[in-house]
Order: sequence, then C-alpha cells, then structure tokens
Amino acid sequence: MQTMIVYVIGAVAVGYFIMTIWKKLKGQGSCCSSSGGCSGCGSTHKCK
Amino acid sequence: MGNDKVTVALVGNPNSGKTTIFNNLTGARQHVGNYPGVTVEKKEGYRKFKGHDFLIVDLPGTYSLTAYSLEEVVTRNFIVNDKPDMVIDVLDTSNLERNLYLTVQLLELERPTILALNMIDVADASGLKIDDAKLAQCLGDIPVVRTNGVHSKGMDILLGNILQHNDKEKKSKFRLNYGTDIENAIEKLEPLLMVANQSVQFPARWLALKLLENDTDIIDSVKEFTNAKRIMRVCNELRIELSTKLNEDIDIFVAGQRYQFVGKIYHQAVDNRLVSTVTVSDKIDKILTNRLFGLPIFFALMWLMFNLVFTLGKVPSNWIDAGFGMLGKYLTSIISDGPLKSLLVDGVVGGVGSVLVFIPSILLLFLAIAILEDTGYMARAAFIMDRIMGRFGLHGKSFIPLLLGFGCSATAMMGTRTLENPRDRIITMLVTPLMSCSAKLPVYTILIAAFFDEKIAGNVLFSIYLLGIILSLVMARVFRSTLFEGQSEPFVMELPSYRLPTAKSVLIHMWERSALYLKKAGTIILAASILMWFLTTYPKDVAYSQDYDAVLAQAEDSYTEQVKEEVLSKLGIADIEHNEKFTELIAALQENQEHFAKTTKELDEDSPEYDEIAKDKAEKNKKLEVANAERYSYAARYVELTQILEDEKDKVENAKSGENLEKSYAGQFGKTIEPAISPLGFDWRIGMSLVSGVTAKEVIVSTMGTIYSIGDGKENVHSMAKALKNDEHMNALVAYALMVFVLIYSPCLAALAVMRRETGSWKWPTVSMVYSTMLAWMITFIVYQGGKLLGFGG
Repeated sequence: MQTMIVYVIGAVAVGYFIMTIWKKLKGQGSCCSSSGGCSGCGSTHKCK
Repeated sequence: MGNDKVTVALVGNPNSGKTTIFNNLTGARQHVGNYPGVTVEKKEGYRKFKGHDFLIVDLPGTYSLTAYSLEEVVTRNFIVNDKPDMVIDVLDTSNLERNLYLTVQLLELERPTILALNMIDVADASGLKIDDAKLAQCLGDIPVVRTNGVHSKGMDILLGNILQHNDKEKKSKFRLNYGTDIENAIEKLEPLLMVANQSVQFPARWLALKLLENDTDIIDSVKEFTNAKRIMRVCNELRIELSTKLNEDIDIFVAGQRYQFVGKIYHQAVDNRLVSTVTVSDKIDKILTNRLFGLPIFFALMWLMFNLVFTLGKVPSNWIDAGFGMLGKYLTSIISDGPLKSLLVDGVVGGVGSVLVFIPSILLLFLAIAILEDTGYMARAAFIMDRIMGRFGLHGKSFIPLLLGFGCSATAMMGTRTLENPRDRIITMLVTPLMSCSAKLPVYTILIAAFFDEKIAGNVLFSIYLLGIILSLVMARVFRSTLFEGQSEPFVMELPSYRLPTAKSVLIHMWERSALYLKKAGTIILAASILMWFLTTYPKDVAYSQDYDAVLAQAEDSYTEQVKEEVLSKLGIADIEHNEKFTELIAALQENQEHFAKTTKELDEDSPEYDEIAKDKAEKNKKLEVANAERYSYAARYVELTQILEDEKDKVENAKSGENLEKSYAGQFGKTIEPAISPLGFDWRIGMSLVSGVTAKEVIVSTMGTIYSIGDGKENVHSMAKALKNDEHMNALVAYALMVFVLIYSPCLAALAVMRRETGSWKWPTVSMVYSTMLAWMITFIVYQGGKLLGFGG
C-alpha cells in the first residue's frame, strides 16, 4: 500500500516538475499576457 | 456616462509615486521604492467607485515621450494605442518644474488628462506655494488634484474628477506654439498625415511634430502609410529648411521651446520664495555621497546588513529547525516502516524543511533591502558606484539592477529595462547573477553555521557578497572589451529626496518576497525533493560489497562473548536481568552517559561548558563507585561494551545506507560527474545538489537535506549543519569553495527564461550559463587548491 501511494506521489511530482520547467522555457512572460496584444509590452522582440 | 469600465492610465516621471497611488486606488501590493525605475512593466488593477468600474494601469516612469528607452515606448504606445479614458499625470510636486515637461508632452497627445500634484506634503514642508487654478488655466483648463500617496490622501477626489471629466470625445484644449517656422512646417505636413491617418492612432499634429523631430519609432510607423514616400520627401525637405533657419537640431529646438513654456508656467503658478536652496537631503548627501566617505559608508552598510541577517536570523532559524526535527520524529512514530515513511521524513521534511528554516534570514534580508530602497539610499549607492562602474565598462544605472540582484536575479534582469543602450542591458544581464540572490543565502548560512566560528560568520557571509560585486565588475570589463566594445553612456539619474520608510511599504515588501519563498517551497522545491528522494532511494536491489547482516551478527556475537567473559563470569552470575542491584547500577551509569551526550551535543570539546558537564558526570559516577565499590568496575565495563556495540551497529547501518545511496540513480549520476568536480573538493553528493540547483537555487539545500537525511541511515531528522559537520569530506575550505561555486555558477531556470524573454533569443542565456559555470569552476579551483597549499581545510 505504502509503495502504491509513494508511486502516485512520485508521478504527480515528476509531472509537476516537468510542467514547471516546460512553462519556464516556453513561457512568454507577463508582458504579452495581460493586455492581449504586443502594444506597449516593452519586450525587445516581437511577441508571438 | 454609462456604466462602462473606465480605463485610467497613471503616467509620470520616475519616482513620482505612481505605484503608491496605484496601490491606494486598487488595493494592490505592487512593489514601490524610493528610486527611479522600480516599475518596468505596466501593471493593471481594478477599483469600484460610486457604481463605476475602473481599470487602473500603472505605467513605467518616464521623463519624456521620445522613443529613447523602453519605458518611454511602453508609456507612449499605451496612451496612443489603448486610448485610456483618462490619463492621470502624477507629479512630484517638490520638483514641479521638471515634472511639467512630461505634462506638456502628454497634453499634446490629446487625451483627457488630470494633474495629480503628488507628494504635496513634501512641497508644503519645503515652503513651495502653488496656485492650482492658475496652473490648470495655463495647461488648458485641465483638472488639478492635490494628492499624498504615502498617506493615501486625495484618492477619492481623484476618482471623482475622473468620473466628472471622463469624456472620450473631448480633446485637450492645450496647444503649444513652437514659433512660426515649426508651426508652418506642421501645417504643411498635417494634411498629408490626415489623409493617411485613418488606421493610425496618433494625433496628426503630434505625428507631424515627431516626424520633424526625427523620431525613428514614428518614422517606422509612417513608412506603413500608402503615401509614405511623399510624406517622407516633404518631411526631409522641411527638416533641411528648418535646420538652416533655426541653426540647430530641430528636436533640440522643440525641447527648448517646451522648457521655455514650462518655465513660464512655473513662474506664473508657483511661489518658491520661501524654499530653501539647501534641503535636508542635500545635507545628508554631503556625508553619504562624499567623494572620500561615500564608498566606505556604502560597504559598511552592506557589512552591517549581512551581519544582521546572519546573527539575528540564526535564533528563529534554530527554532524552526527544531520544529521540523520534532515533526520528523512525530511522523516516524506514527507511520509504520516503509517507503512512505522514508519519503515523508527524509524527502519532504528533510528537503522542504531544510529550505523553510531560512525564512527568518530571507525576511531580514528583504527588510534591509526595503529600508535601503525606501529611504532613497539605493539611488545614492548607484551614484557612489558610478565612477567605479564606469572604469569597468558598466553604466552607473546598472548598479540598481545589480543591487536588486541581491533579492532575485530574474527581477533584476527585468530592472535592466531602465538602461537605454541594449549593449549596457546585455552586459548587466550577464553579470547580474553574480550578485548573490536571496535563494543562495540558505546555502551560505548553513555552510557558515556548520564550519565557521560564530565570531567571523558575518564576515564570511559579507566576503561572499563582496566577491560577487567584484566579479560582476571584472566580468563587465571583460565583456565590454571583448563582446561589446565601446564606451558606456554618461550617467544621468535623479537622486530622490530621503524619506522615512513607511512600515506598510516595508512589511509589504517583506511579505511579498517571503510569500514567494513559501510558495516555491510548497511547489517546485517540494516536487524537486520528492524527485530527489526517488533518485536517491531507487533501485532497491543493490548488490552490496559486503554482507552487512553477517557483520552485524558477528558484532553481536562478539559482544555477548565479551560480556560473558569480562562481566558475568567475574561476578559469578548467569545473567544481568535477574540481578537487581547490578541492573540499577547499570541504569544509573547509562543515564549519566545519556545526559552527558545530550547536554554536550552542541558544545565544543575545548569549551568551559563542556569541561563543567564532564566534571559533573565524573562526580556522579564517583558517587556510584563509592556506593557500589564491588560491582562498579564491571558495570562500567558492561556500559562501555554496550556503547561499543551500538556504535558498531550505527557504523554498519551508515555504511549500508551510504552504499545504497552511492548505487542509487542519483549516486550513479553523481559519480559520473564527480571527476569534473573533485578538483574543487566536491564529492558526488555536492555535485548532485549543484545540478538540481539549476532549477531553483533553494533546491541545492533541499537536495542536500534529502541526501544527508537518507545517507544518515536512520529515519530521524538531524539538523543539516550537524549532518554536514559529521561528513568526513566536508571542512571549512570545502564549505567556502562550495559557497564560491554557488555564488558564480549558472543562473537558475527562471533567470535564464527572463533573459531569453528580454533579449529575444536563447543565445545570451546559453552564453550566461556556460561562461558562469566555467568561471565558477576556475575561481573555485583557485580557492580550493590555493587554500590547500596554504594549509587550510585540514
């Protein structure tokens, strides 16, 4: 039983960990998210 | 006016108090500080007032609306493209004349504008008298409201004025006459722009003026027009003609006209006869920014800050540490043996607990930073460092992002937006991670607590931060003379008046950072700790180098034999249990022994306290010897043999756990990288912690917590410092080398991601990661091998 619970916790942790890293690497950041457009986001490159 | 959402933009010079007003209006807790450039991104917040919904947008501070730096573009584009219903121009009233320059430019954008005379208390105290009605009249009858952001005064009046004057169709009555030559040129350009201006948001007059000023951003926009060629041809002809007539650059002439106008308004609406020319801030600055004393005072303040963080933070940290120790013990007592128990005790409590222990230090660090920021000293620090920074090829303004780097590298990189020159920005971003961020503080604190005397602990911590500052300057010089050749631009920065920090602002700052730290502990650090537990616990079917069970059995046999031979046979008894007096004597001796071990746990063997407790134990034992003269020596021998057996069991158990750990997935990976880091004095466990630390620097400590907890072999939670002290691979020199490596090596993932976003490619994050790790290796090698040659580290 303990082994089962441990594996479930492990799977959730791995999933969260990978998702966090993926979001960090691919994330646009806040400049383009709130206004919905690129105008005035201040980023030095064009938002996709 | 209907019940539509009213969009309000807060605009103004840097450090005029926009974010403070934003926080007052929206109830938000955005970071404020008494230095220019705190807000680098626009922030949005909401407010309901008299049945109306308000969307309040806090824009980065700017001195003008040219496209010189990023924050100017952000502000200008928002006003023009998003067309807020109302622009609130927040002015630092104590510096009214300078602030009015932006006001003139804002009014030329023809958006409904309200003037907020902020920091009115400071202006009043200095003796400045302002005729609000006259000021409003000079600026085309715009509403003027007096505000005091720090004490939240004038906010409702501001909102009331927004409701009263919110009319999208109403254009600003303001129009500044630039003289016949410029006005004629505008008149010629305007019709051309009106035809094509259908999809472009800028007012035609403003657009014409900007074209004449040769604003590159606007020229790029105009190039999209259908009649762009004609516009540019006419514009170029007009520019040549005007340059000859005016005998100076058009943009300089236009700026001059604006300054003249502002000067006139100021003299009409403001009475400054009572204002003293030398302010209190000037008097303080005479000392704090003195050419001779400025720098020593700055370093003395830094030294004081890190000493306070270490010494004051230690006490509550020890309480939290003890709390997690108790939690570990409690979990051990209620959960049956098995992997879940190990995961919770070694992985979660050992990992996350070791990070949370440092909350007090983080709070204190941000208390110190908040005080430096809110008093206005931060801007002075940049000023003091400018001459040094210039010699190393860094812009003086870069020092503010660098100082912010003491908090978080990712935030500091965003702070580089205040730098106009992209080369300065990239150099600053590359060297910012060398300033020790708060996430590295737990690593230093734990290593210093374990290996350095309390008397020099603060100095050791300060030396690491100082090394970071020195390295950042040296690396900036290297980058400036290799990748980014050229001179840095001159440094112009406003020194704000000194202010007493408000408790609210300081507490908000401390809370925000600590909440972020707690959030990280509950998310990414928790996930990393669980992951690390798996990597250090599995695979389970390890082929051991020796049969540990047989070794244990042999030790127990040997113990039984020795007890029989040296105790039982000498006393002529068959067993101990049935000899009551002898059992009592043994129990008393063991109690003495346990008490001694418990009370001397944290003490140095050379300390007077240790001697005192040892003396007390000897006296108690002596009494027992006198009372039990015949049996005493045998009982003492029995206690000694039992202790030897316990130690042997611990040793075998530790060796087994150590082998388990070494043969785990983490161990196997760590062993493969060990050859690369062994010249630095690091073993595979440190290597593994450093690799995991790239995700977030706090993870270094949580990984060490998990590894040392599992490596301990017993499911009880020791303090990390003690576990490190007991590690034979670790000593003061290795600890210092490790601190140096952690200071310098690769920025964390969040910082790398921000760098990618700010530079627009993965090129610079890759350069940052590679160069910093290589530099870390080289410097740490010098520190460790040099230290060994000098005889440090044992």
